[in-house]
Amino acid sequence: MARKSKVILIVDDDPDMRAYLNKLLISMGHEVYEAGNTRTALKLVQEVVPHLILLDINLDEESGFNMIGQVRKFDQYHRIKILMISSLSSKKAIDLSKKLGTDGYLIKPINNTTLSTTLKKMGPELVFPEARNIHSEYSQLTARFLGSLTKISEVSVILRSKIKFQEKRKIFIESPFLKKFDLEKTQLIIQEFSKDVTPGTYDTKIQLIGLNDNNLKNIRKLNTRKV
Amino acid sequence: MSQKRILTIDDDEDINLLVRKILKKHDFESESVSKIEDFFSKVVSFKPHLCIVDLNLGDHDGFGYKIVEMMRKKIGNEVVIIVMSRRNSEADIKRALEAGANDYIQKPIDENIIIAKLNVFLDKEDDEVQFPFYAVPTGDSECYFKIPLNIYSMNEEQITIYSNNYIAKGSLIELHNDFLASRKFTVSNVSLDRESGGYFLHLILDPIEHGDLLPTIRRIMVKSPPLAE
Repeated sequence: MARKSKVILIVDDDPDMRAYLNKLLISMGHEVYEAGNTRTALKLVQEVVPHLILLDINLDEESGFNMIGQVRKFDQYHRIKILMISSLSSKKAIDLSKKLGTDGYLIKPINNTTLSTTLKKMGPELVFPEARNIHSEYSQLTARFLGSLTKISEVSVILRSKIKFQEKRKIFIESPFLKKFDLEKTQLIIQEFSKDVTPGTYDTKIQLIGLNDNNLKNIRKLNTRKV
Repeated sequence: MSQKRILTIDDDEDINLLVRKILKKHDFESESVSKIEDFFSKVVSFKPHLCIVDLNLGDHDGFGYKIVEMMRKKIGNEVVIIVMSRRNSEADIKRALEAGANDYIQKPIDENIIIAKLNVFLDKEDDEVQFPFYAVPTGDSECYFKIPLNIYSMNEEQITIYSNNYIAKGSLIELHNDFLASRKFTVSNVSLDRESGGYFLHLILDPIEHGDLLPTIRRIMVKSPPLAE
């Protein structure tokens, strides 16, 4: 369920108007940013990525138009919504809004009721669709987990953790124990699936690859505490 | 279950004989060659599941590596390759593994070790050869381990990660990449992906702890193309 609080950017060259809208929006629980010109506005769009932009069209029609174009360059799938603020009549505002490609308009003077009704109506539109086709630069990651090495033999070591492995794969372990035994560079491979210990805890046998006789000697020295 | 076939190459015939004896004892079908020229024709005719390759063959020091490389190039990754050597060197082992070997054993050959490794790599159950386990001292047992994962989807409430392996609910997971920079999350829910047999891990975004990630997450959401219809 999407959060009710939205991120909203007010773009208006009149500081009083900005302050007024800011106050209204904050009291509705939203996160608000302000810009007095289109340059600052575009910088903020890229930094905070608002759900909604309230854009004063008296900013001068051409620069307003350009700004919308720039926003669409950043937001090519038209997810950020733009409401045009204007002092024109309703009909003229509709036409202009269509011409500029905004998602609606607000006619000045804007009161609390108009603003909250408009935002309520837009509700579902102010939710960005879930990202599924994520670029590998963001989607690929390494996950690090806490575990414990409980036992070691001359060919394998047992890792106890909350992961139940069901594939053969390489694994990387940071362990003071392995370091002590000069095994920190040893390749570790999971060749068998994990076994249940208790619900949520699993033992995984990990093969120690490429041990030389020094490594083996050191492991055998642990013989005092056979398990 | 049919016997697994092992092919050994060592220029020392005594070693070949010893290995064949050990393998026969443990129910493996085995052959050996001592000359490089004979090796590949034997691979083609005998079709081994696993090869044991001496790294230091005759005059050609290091030809063992070449054999491993050629095997990987010509035959692929299906055949398991274990290399053996008298030398103790870490560099040798690393080189062999990089060339594509699956494992390394040091001579003189320990029967238990070689059989244990064969059993593991060939998925063979063998209750006879079990190595004793020694306890890791409790003070030293804590460790961290890393595996690569992928984000399947994200929105402003949660990040969903896909994993081939089951990760229990409640696990603490630290995620590393450029934008997530070692942030910690708790797995709040795990669901099975019936199609692939993998799992979806749901990580809830805490507004206080993860609030600063939200602008980047919104940016990713804004930039991600819609799914094709």
